[in-house]
Amino acid sequence: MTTSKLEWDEKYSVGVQQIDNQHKKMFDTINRLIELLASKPTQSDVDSIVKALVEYKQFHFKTEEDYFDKFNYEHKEEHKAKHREFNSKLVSLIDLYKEDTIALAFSLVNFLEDWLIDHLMVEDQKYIECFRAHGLK
Amino acid sequence: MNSIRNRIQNTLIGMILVVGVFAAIMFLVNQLNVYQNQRIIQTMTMEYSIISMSDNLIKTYNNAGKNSGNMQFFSEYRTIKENLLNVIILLKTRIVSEESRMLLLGVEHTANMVISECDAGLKEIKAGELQNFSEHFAQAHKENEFVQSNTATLLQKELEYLSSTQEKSQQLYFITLITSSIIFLFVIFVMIIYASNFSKQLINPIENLTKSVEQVAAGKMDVLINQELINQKDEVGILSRSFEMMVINIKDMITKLNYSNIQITNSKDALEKGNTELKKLNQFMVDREIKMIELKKRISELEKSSMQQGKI
Repeated sequence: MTTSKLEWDEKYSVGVQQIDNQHKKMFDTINRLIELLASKPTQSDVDSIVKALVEYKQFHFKTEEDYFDKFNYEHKEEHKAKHREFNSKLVSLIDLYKEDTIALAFSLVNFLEDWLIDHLMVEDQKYIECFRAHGLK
Repeated sequence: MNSIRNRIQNTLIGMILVVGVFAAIMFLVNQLNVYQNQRIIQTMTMEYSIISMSDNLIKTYNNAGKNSGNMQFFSEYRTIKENLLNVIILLKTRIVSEESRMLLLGVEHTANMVISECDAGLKEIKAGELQNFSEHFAQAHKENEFVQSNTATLLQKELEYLSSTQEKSQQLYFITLITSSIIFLFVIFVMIIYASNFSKQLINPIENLTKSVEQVAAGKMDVLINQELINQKDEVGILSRSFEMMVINIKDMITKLNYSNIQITNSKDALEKGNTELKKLNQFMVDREIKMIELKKRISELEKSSMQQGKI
């Protein structure tokens, strides 16, 4: 069974290669998870990839937030609050579907995609100027 | 094997033998009685013939004297004399009662007197001396009367004997009949008790087995068959052992059937579980497609708004 995937596009770019790469990596990981779900996965397969995705997300947040602090970005608290909001939603999702890894994986994928698109195209676009001004490429 | 068939056969043969033996005893007693009576009557006929033979003897003697020289009367006389003596010898062997035997001796004695008187007369006739002929005849006639009276007494005694013998044999017959009847009734009684015991022995195990069969028929497969029935060495034993084997086989089949049922249920559950998961996955995929359409719509909206912002 095949299903639609969300591919990386330049319109999602924040103009910083390091952060764009991290975003691409997240797109990749989400798409890998979608492929895996389409091929009747075992619970442990899904488990490991979900865990990797969540860990990578945290790593990515830390990268962004480090730059916010470093450049003293004006909306940094607002943005960090978005990250925390994301984390709490993630925790509640994981808690909701703790008995069913596959259902968790699906809702995780859907949630991540929605959130990622909104976040990339709205919130992240806001710090482009700040990051550029500090010479990040 | 002490089979039921053999026991029934033996019982029947036993009953037929008992009835047969008593019938044979009754027949023999009856035959003996008839034979005894016939023998006594024959004896009496022979005794009665002595009277006529003795009469004929002196008549022949008289004829021989009157027609002296006629040898025909001499030979007739000899024949009668021999017959008379033979009859007396024969009677000695046939007469049983002691009293009759004594009376017969008296008859023999007087008959011998008649014979010796006539013999002496005939001797003189042969010699041509006829002067004593009438004297001998008168003497012989007198002796003949004794013969007749003695024979009559003997006959009377024999009649009494016959009557007593008949009475005795009737008594014997009666006693035999009573004894036989009592023994026969006793045997019948024993047979009835034996038959009742036998039928109990036959029916009790069958009733016992029937209870077990009914339990199995009602679906109670854990039925216990009486060990005595199993060990019995007749048809009921064979039936019980076969039945026990049948129950064991049925139990075995039920166990196998239950096992395959469990297996089928397990496979069915596994299949259903797989199906449910597949359905769930399909549902997720469908939901995702719908969601992707919405997401793409949202992306283009966001794109538009950012482009507008860019223009501004």
